[in-house]
Amino acid sequence: MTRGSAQLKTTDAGERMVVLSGDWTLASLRSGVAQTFHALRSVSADPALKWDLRQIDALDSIGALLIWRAWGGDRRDSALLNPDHVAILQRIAAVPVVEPVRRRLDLLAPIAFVGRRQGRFYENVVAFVALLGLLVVDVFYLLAHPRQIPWREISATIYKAGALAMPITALVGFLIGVVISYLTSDTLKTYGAGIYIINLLGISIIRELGPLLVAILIAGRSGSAMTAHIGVMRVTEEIDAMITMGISPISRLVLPKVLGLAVALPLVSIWAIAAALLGGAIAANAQLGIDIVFFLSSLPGVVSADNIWIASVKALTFGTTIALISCHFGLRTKPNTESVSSAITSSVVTAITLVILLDAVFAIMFRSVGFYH
Amino acid sequence: MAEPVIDIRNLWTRRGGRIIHRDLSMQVETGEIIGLVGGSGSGKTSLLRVVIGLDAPERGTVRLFGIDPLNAGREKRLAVQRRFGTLFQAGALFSALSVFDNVALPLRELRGLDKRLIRDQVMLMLHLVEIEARDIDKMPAELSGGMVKRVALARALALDPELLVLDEPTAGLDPERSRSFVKLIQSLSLQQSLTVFMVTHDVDTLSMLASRVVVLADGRIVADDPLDQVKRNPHPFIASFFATAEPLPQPN
Repeated sequence: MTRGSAQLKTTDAGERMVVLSGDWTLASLRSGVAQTFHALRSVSADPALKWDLRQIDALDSIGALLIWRAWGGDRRDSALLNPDHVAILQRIAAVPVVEPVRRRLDLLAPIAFVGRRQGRFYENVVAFVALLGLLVVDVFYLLAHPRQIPWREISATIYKAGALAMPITALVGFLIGVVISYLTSDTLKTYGAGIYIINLLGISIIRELGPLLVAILIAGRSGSAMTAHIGVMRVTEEIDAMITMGISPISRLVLPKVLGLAVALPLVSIWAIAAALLGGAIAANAQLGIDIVFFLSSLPGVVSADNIWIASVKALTFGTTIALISCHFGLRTKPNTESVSSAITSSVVTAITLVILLDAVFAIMFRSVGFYH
Repeated sequence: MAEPVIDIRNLWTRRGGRIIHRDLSMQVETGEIIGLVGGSGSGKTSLLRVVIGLDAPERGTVRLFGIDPLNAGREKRLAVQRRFGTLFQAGALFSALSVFDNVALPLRELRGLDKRLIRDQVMLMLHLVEIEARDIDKMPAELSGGMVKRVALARALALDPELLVLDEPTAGLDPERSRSFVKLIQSLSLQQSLTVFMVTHDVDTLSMLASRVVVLADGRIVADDPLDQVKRNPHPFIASFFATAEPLPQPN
């Protein structure tokens, strides 16, 4: 492979001529494209100059484009060509010249951006309410036709989002229990109130941290998976196929996920609470010398059983919310892969934000329930 | 330069315990247009994937331009990869990039071409595949199936490859576009000594383009000849393949 080169020659007839030779291809020119172009450009200004391209061995479109640009985007009829290369130059000549559109600076763009965001938010709210409505309609339909209740899908959701999440929720719960117990025991010890670690851990873990932690974990773990599942089904037109077969995607995809998470989340929460209390008890034993059996047996005396119910109701609400939000964003995915990733992001962020918001609402609603005064 | 562009020797591939190719050997010389034919599941696409280095063979070697890309160093492999362009069955356009950027990507990856040249090359390639200038800012999701295919072909051609590997290039194109595709490949292969290795079911494309037809059946190559000769081959798959392709007799 010989690199393309250009030489300025004077023919016998006294004409000045540019003779190009060698390989004018991307592979051979790659490193020196810019220099080659400038060299060509500098001589091409002279219209009297003849061009001789006959000695070019190989010409590809990059090479031809360089020569073409040096000519100023115009055919030189006087150029001497190798017959094999005529077609390439003809192809280039046939491309219509389109100037790239320059984007003008739009001063109103930030305002338009806010407006579009606002519009999109309302769109989402409306679509979410519509989804809820469709779900209610389908629930009534299924109540009337119980044979069509998608039991298999419901149990699959409970297994995937619940049973398979048990190790990670136990681990996280246990560690949180250890950390809270460890961090508060010092303060309690200074006041001689070490024994109150049981009240502290009992209330904070059962009522607050257990359900919240599990909800956040499940939103990240199963919420994203649900959005991806439905989103990919949209991209591959599987949802459209379902609809044409008369299968309602709401009752086959959304409902099982909502019911499954509504069942799974309270159960997983109780499981995580147990792990967290165990972690707390072990750390309390190490730091304050409180016997683990004593810790567990005095727990019912200081934390009312109502807290378990509050935790379960919270977990149930969180589970339903996560599933609904995940399905909502999954169904709103546009049929391209780019849209799936942004749908998953929105789904997880919205689900976690809503869970924390709901948690605050619960804190206010149940402020006089579950405490011994 | 006498080196074959593709040199497959004693290739065995296996996927999930099933042997897909048994002892395949074939060579493709510069300037040839090879049509690879076979029933569904006969391992055409698998062979294509092995040739372009996406899958490793179980046994045997595949050399492109005299180099075994899987066992060459990174630089050498990259040099080989820049010498061929691939058109995937479903286009495989980058969904996050516009039509223009999809075609420009391989050129930009070279680092060293200036913006104007990249733009000119992209516009030339898009013009070749008959994509109009008003469509260049569209995203792949907004394109029709045939357009996706044509943009993907433009991307495969962007680096002026010496070898073009095509998986079902005319599937999903209307007859007119198929014909202009055939014309484009013909003119490119004449002018730039382009070698083409394509999987196709389209007998029209085969008869107009292929200088040689390779038939895969039962994991083996059962025919490797010009089309006229292949058509006379008594192998049952070949007989039925070309029998169904003959036009049905018209009433009246």
